[in-house]
Amino acid sequence: MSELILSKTDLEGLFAFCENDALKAKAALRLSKLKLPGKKTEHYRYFSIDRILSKSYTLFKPYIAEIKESEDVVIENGVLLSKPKNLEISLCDSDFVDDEHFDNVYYVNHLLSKKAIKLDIKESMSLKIRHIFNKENSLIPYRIFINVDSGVEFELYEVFEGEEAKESLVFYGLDVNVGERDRFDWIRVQDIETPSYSMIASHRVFVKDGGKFDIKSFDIGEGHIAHNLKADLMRGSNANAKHLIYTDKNAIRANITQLVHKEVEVEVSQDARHVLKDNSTAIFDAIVKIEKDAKKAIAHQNNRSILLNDKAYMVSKPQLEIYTDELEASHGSTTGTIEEEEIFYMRSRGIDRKKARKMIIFGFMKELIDSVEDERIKEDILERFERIYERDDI
Amino acid sequence: MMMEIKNLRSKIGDKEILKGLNLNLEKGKVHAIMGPNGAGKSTLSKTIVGHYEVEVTEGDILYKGESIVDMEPEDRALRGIFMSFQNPVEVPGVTNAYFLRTAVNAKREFEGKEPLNPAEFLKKAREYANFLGMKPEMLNRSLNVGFSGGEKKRNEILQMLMLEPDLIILDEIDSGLDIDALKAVSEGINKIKSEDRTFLIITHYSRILDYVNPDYIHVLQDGKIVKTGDYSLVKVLEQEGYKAIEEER
Repeated sequence: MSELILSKTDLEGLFAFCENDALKAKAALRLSKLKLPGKKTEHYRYFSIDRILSKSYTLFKPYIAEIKESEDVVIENGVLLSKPKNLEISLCDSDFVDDEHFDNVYYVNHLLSKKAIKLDIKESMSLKIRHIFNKENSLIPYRIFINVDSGVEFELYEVFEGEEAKESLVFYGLDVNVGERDRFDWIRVQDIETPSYSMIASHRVFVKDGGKFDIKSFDIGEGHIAHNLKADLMRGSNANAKHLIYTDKNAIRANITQLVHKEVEVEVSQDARHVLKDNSTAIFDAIVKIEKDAKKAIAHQNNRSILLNDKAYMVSKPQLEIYTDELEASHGSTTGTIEEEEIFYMRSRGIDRKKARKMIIFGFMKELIDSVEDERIKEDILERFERIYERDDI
Repeated sequence: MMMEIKNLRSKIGDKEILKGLNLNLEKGKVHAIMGPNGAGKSTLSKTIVGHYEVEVTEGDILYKGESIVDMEPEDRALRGIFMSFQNPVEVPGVTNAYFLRTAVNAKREFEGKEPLNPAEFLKKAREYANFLGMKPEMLNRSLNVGFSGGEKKRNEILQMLMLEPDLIILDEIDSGLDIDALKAVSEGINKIKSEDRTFLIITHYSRILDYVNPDYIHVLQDGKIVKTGDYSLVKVLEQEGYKAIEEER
């Protein structure tokens, strides 16, 4: 089956992808309960899921390439092309499937991914992964498994290039196991200048006792992109999530997260900021769940959004789901526009309207960009924001 | 003449506030405007700087002989008009130093000068901040965010010192200031007084005027200047109130 219209594919058709793989069978079982996603699936309600899944795609058949040496990991259409010399990386069958993930696509992605790319991180390091998509009208499914050994600090920087992948759909995601007292810092930047590929990414992070998980995501520009993230946080672990989104044109960008306090003394902090221009939509659908035994929990969520046009649309749903009674928690959300008085104040000092507006918008976004410690990465992110911001006059 | 305001009528929304106001501001002089609440003092300053809420319906404002009523606010600022805000806005994420350097260099570019490099700028800004009794770290904080009322007013004066404007409108710069802050602000004003610079000080109180020695006192009532005098007029107003001016008319 090379041509695939997912909305017309029955589950039996997808189960054919199990190929006697026990973990894929597990994914199939869970999917049979969740069903394929559609407009009625709560977390896709505001996402263009029907339009994306009703298109006809050519299912891209991955191949095993001769892996070259490079400074970064390069993955093209889900195929591993190159890697740094000392990085342990392999292709494997499904390594792990979470049987409680909230996202249907997580399981579809597991079923459709032929071989997963597996990274074993045995020593502290920083790694950049370049995801490249250049096939048109294709469905490109792949997954990456990452095991971070105990006591190791791992910083991952992900960037995406896909201007040539017109009308393609990418399913991808990370399954990450963060060992005891490990630190996993994940920086993800996805900037799209012209409409090309769509993506539904579905990630799962498991943080063992005392581990630290830090995600900073930066979504910029156009495209229909959803990142679904579930993180399970064990005793004494810590998750710090920051999401910065600048959308324009007809973009739909979504961050759909479930951060779950599984055990005692877990701390979660989630801070999102959105700036929306033109007809774009951003979705921040974020649940922090505190399970019954997860006492002494700390959970704080906040989202602030600026709408630059009347037609921009923000879906902001920070949610706390609390099943314990010993915790400190807060959540909040504000959506507004730029105050004319702020612009006037700057103009009264000789700064023109365009520059004033930019200063205010970048000031709003700055705190999250500044949270990136690595100066080179910070500069790279800022450049990407600038490039897309500057392409049209506001 | 620094500024000539001729038969100026302006409104905010549907309400006419300035009703045929005439006022000349002389070069090198300190003018003060006093008047009861609602007389139009703040509307006058907003009209001069081109505030978006104000619509000029009649009359003209000539600045150095050139009409400015149709000019954008930034163009007025670049030509040397400065107004201190009663309630300066807070802008998160934009540091005081970055904002100020952008403003200073916009003006320098307009004047055909080279931009100040960060080191030159910081040296000057720190010097002035110190003169005004501001902590140097305030330059690195977000613009006006979390500043006390006094700190915001000092910051307005810091901007004034850095921008070196020709016409300086200080709208209730003295409101809410303690004695030390008032003294610092007044010293800032006195520091840049010159024969080429004009001040228009809008105030309810005489105490700032005691520090800055105005040349002219103008009384603004119901959208018009109804009396102009020297400093002795302040004492009359303090003793007899604005009613005395009304009765005189």
